[in-house]
Amino acid sequence: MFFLLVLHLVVGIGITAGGRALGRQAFLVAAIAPLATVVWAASKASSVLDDRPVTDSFAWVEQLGISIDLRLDAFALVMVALVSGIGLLICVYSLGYFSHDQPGQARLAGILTLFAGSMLGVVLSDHLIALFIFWELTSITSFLLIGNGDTNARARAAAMQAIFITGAGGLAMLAGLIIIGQAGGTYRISELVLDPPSGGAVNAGLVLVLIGAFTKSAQAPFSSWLPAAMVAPTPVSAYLHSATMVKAGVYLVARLAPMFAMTGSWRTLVLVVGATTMLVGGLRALRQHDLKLLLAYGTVSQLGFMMLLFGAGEYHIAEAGIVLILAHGAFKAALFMVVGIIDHETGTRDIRELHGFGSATGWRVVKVVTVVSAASMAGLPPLFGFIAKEKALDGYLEHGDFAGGTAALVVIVLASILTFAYSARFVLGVLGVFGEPNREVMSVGAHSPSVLFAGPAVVLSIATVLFGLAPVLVDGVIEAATITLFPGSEPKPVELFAGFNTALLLSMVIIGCGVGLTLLRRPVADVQSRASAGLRAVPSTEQGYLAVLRSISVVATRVTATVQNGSLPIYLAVIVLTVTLVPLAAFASELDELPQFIETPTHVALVAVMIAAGLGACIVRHRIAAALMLGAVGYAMAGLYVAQGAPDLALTQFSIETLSTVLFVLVLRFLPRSWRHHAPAIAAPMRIAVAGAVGVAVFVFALSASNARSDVDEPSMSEVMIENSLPKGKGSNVVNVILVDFRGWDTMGEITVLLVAAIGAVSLARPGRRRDETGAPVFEEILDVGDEPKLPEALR
Amino acid sequence: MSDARIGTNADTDARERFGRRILILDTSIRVLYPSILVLALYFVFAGHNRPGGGFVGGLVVGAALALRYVSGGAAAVRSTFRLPPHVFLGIGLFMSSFTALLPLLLGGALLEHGEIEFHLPVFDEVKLTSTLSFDLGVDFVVIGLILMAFAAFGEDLPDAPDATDDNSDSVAATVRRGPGRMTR
Repeated sequence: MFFLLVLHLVVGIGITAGGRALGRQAFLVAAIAPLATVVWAASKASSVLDDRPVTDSFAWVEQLGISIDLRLDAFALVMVALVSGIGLLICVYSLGYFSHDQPGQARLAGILTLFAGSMLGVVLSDHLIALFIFWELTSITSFLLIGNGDTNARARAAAMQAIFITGAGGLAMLAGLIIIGQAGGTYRISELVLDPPSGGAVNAGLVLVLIGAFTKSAQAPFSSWLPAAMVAPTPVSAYLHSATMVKAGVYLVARLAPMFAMTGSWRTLVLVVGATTMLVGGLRALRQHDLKLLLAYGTVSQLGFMMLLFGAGEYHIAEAGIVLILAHGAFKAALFMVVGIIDHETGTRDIRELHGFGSATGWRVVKVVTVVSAASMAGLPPLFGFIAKEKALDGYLEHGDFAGGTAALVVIVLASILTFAYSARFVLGVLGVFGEPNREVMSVGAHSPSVLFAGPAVVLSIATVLFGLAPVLVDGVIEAATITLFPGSEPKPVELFAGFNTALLLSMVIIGCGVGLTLLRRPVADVQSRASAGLRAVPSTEQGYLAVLRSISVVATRVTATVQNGSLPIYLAVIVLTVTLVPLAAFASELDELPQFIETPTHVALVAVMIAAGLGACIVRHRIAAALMLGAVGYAMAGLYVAQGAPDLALTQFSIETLSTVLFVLVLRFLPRSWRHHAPAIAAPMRIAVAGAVGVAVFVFALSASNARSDVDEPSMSEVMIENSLPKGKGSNVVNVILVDFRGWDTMGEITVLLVAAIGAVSLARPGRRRDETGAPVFEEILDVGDEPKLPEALR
Repeated sequence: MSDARIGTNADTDARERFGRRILILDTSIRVLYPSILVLALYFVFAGHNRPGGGFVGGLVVGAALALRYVSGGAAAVRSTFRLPPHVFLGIGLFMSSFTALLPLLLGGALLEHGEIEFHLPVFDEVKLTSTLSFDLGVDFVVIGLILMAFAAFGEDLPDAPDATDDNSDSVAATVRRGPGRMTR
């Protein structure tokens, strides 16, 4: 199973990196991955449906118990069929949609394949952390796909919005998944389902997970990114934003609901959010003129419907959810494809600009596809969508005896009436009923779509009709998937006609009201627009998103203005006080006895020089004089090393001190000769206090560090090194042996730092001085000596 | 001051800071400079057994370069070596990391060192360990760093007003302009 993910990765990266020459043929190459997946899944189907899941595992971060555990059970099989089946059709459809080679198509095909692989990972993962990783990968690839038209500011904004919202939800979800995994003692879904954890922490974790699922599946109030994402090319919208990715949240809820529906506020939260989303999505879909936006809001509404079905955690209802996932995938992808065809051939998606199409065969086929798929969405018999709706109504009627069950049923009926109405609006729009006479007629006589272009939608429509007429074809899969979700359950068979029951009556009511709403569409639209004028006062989710963005930016600006105020003295004071005062207490507590400070008279003289030079550096007003004084401190320090019998240290100290003084002087040439004191009067005492604190801290640190190992029994490290220097390090200079051998790896690091520092110093010092004609800093000149070094006049 | 206005800015500036050309200094640098380089070599080669080492060797070369800077300005430092500074850095890091990694290829541990002993006519018994090439790498990096520092800060501003014009205050003006350019 793992090889399928790798195949997606390889094909995706291959096309993205080197597929430019392929042009639109890249989609053909991209089709390899979903095709292989479909074939593989079909070959495993019989054993999976026989309750023998296929598993595969790849150790990843073993220390943390994180592995990529893959598991193909019956529910995953349903999702794989959706992801890879529709993925395959989308690849074919893209060949028709991108009828002319354009830059960026190969990249689109590549990222689409990467997305398909990530989505496959989501539905196959049995490990919560692996699921999260693939989940985020779908967010990232979705971001890239929405923003594919990277020169379009709207596309970029929509891509940002999508990744902000789903990314934030994903982070909340990660926290939730970790809480659940820790509480349950395992991160494997197949083990959690047998023994689900509970408790206060788990409740909180579930809320976090639900936030992630809601953002991904565009539930209220996080739904604004989905309509905005419609700026993506239609194949992308059809694939990600209707059939697959947005179902990831639903998928997760479906997986977790059987374990946690009774825990904490799960059911209340899911039912309220799902119901709100379903109603609001339906109402907004009814007001759209753009066919694609109409479908987008319709998708939001249907996702709310799925939440209501899966979130209840009741297997009869969840079984309806599985039927709906499949039915929705088929009709919504087909409808999106129709929108793409219309957009591609006529250049518009606005129903006010469509005036019907000619009688060419291609357009007739498109119309049939439209009517069949929209009828399935509306829930008309004998189509697949009707079965889903029927099962949902029946499930809530017979088994919705939990708190809020009846309310959910009412919402489903109301929203289904709306669904009927916007489905009808879509069909009438395509047929040209809303075409306004004063708008330019663009659709009549439009070029009819090619077989390749219309074919995938036809295939999906055939599935819609076939599974509607003969649900026995999918009955086995759906029942097995239900049993996977709810071990030990006994799902009812999926049937087109389940007898004259209340559900059928409700379906008739829905259809009747829907027809009424369609016939009265003008007055309804008036009422809606008047009501929406009143609703303007309530901020929409879109406005909420913008407000959040603005407040983040305001807070960031204020925090930065406070923390990064630009005053070097304050930065310095904060840094040195932190590094000195924080460890000071710990060091001071270790300090038990003071060593003998003066061993030879030389010490007194050297220290006197150091103190004098140090004070002098503080007092003198010339910068270069101060630098020289600091050099004197360093030389006296080197003298101290000599007095203590460390010639190596002394030698290094002398050389370092010499060179740093020279470099100091080189840099100070660019600064004024002396300081001018503009600082307020309080600055001087504060500086003295800070400097004093640093001095005391370093003093205490040195004392306690030299005593640190005195009470440890082990032989001191320095003695070990001195003993081993000659026999093991082959050198009698122990300092050098430490540098090149015992601690050679440190030296490697240090010289690397030196190298980086050298390049850094040059780039800091020079680019400001030399710029090329475009104003960009010239760096090469600094690094090269140049062919003719300029000799000073005196040396020529 | 009039004397100081001859030659390039770097030249002028160096002498402005360190005073006029001093014959004794210039002459003694000519003698000292090669001797200091030999000392540096000694430090590098003897470092394993006596005070010294690659780091100190590099710093001593740096001190020699500082002397050249005093007498000849940045141009003198630049013309000291044929190789540009970054090549020193690269060679140095390569030598050290190669010495560190080579034992891995030969089946040993990282940074494991080997040694060979042989007889040379004058030096009698000579023992060479592979730490020497590691230390030479350190030496080169330090020399490169110092060359880079002189390249970065040693020269005067190229677009500064030519010191040969009649503005006797030009050097001081250059110095005053310094901070503004540094922070640009």
